[in-house]
This record gives sequence, structure tokens and C-alpha cells, in this order.
Amino acid sequence: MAKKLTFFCIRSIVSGVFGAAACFKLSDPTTTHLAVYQYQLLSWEIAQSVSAFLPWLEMAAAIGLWIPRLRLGAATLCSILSIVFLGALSSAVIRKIDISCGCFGAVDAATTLGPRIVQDIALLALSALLIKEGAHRNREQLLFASQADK
Amino acid sequence: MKPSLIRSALIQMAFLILVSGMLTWATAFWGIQWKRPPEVRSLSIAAIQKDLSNLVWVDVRDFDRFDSAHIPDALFFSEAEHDKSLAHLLRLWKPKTRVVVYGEGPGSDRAQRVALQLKKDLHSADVFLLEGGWAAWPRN
Repeated sequence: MAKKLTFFCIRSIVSGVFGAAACFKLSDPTTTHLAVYQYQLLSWEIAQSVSAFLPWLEMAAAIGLWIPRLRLGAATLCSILSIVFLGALSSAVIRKIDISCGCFGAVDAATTLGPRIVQDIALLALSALLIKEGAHRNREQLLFASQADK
Repeated sequence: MKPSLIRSALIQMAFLILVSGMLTWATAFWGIQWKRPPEVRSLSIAAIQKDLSNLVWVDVRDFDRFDSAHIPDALFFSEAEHDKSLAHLLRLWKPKTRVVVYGEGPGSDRAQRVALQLKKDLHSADVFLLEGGWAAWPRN
């Protein structure tokens, strides 16, 4: 019971963070475009496509965490997104680019990269725990299916 | 992780990516706007000159007009090459920087369009129009 409650809390946090980030990005596409472009990793046009796709991907991952059949995939997607964000943030810090995070659209325009990197690492750790849980559930489902076949 | 689990994870991820792609396409296809375009305020020269720090002048007139004379330190901004000009502006711009756009004279449509677009691009409330445009700038 305690384990279930713990994973419910973890899922709520990860889903909440990705869902909120998606909503803020969707509410202001131009800021999201600029936020992606300011990392100087993508061209203006590619940044536009990425900024259009990214919020929906985050939203799908956030919702997927609550659908038992999609839980493992959604948790994996959250981990991959966290790694990508971590890479982008770290590269900006290494190249000494003076930019705000842009992770939550215009809302966190004043947030610097350092604290966001720490938050991203925490998010990655939580997503990894959800993968473990999702894998456990999937294994149980596969076992159940193979027993039913017999 | 067992191969069957990796396969499940990949299939589920592919499904989520597909759904996201479809939603992205649908949003672009129907041109869904989530926000109304903001209005741009005009500032008089006197109001601007009270504080000239953190200020970027953006000149949207034709290049030959800009070349002959412009407000000191103004940035030439070509509406036709918006992205290129925006990239130049981004080198000077930081959050809290005031951007003052001016055209040939009062009511310049080009200045209005560029200022509105810059306000969206920079997501900054600090984009203004110069009241009276270049015509109002003191020559001496």
C-alpha cells in the first residue's frame, strides 16, 4: 500500500511537471519558439518545428503516465525528454550563453539555468523510478498473458 | 531489461509520439491561436529620453533612408528579412531591454507591424513605437 502511494505521488509530480510545462508552452508558441532558438543548437526553422511538437509530446507523456497500458512508454519518454533538456541546459552553461530556461514558457523567463539543471536531474531520477515500476507491471501483464495462452 | 519489455516500451513510446505528431499537425493545419495579439504602446521622445539605459532603437525604414541618417546606435531592421534582422536584434536584446521601433513618420504601418511581431517574438511588454517616428526626432 505504501509502495503504491509512493509511486502515485511520484507519478503525480512527474506528470504535473510535464503537463504544466506543456500547457505554458502551448499558451505562448512564440515564446516557446524563441526559448528553443536561444539555445543556439537549432536553426530558426527547425526550432519552430521543435517548439510546435515539444509541448504536445510533453502532454502525451504526462497523460500516458496515467494510462496503465502506456505507463512504461510514457515513463521512458519522460526520462528521454529529461536527458535531452539536461543536455541542452548543460550545453548552454558550458558555452556561457546568458539565457533564461524557457522550460515553462514565459512563466520562468527569470529562472536561471543552474537551479533548473538540479530540478531536471531530480525529474530524471523520478522518471527512472517510474520506468522500473512500469517494467514491473508490464512483466506481470506479460506473465499473465503467457499463462492465459497455456 | 528483457527484450519483450524494451519492445513494449518502444511500441508505447511510438504511439505517444504519433499522437503528439498528429496533434501538432492538427494545430498547425487549423492555425489555432492560443492568444490574441497584443497592442503596442507609443512613447514620446521626451518620455524615452528620461532613461536611455537598456534601450535599443529599431529603424524599420528602407535601407537607403537608414543609411543617410538615423537615430544614434539604431539597428536597421528589414521587415522582408525579419528572421535575419531578429537574429541581429537578439545579440543586443536581453530581458528588460526596451525596444523602440520607429518608421518614417507618425502612423507608420511598417513600424506597427514590426513592433507587434517583435512583441510576440521577444515576448516582451517592453516593445514600443516612437511617437511621430523618424519625423519627430530632433535634427540638431
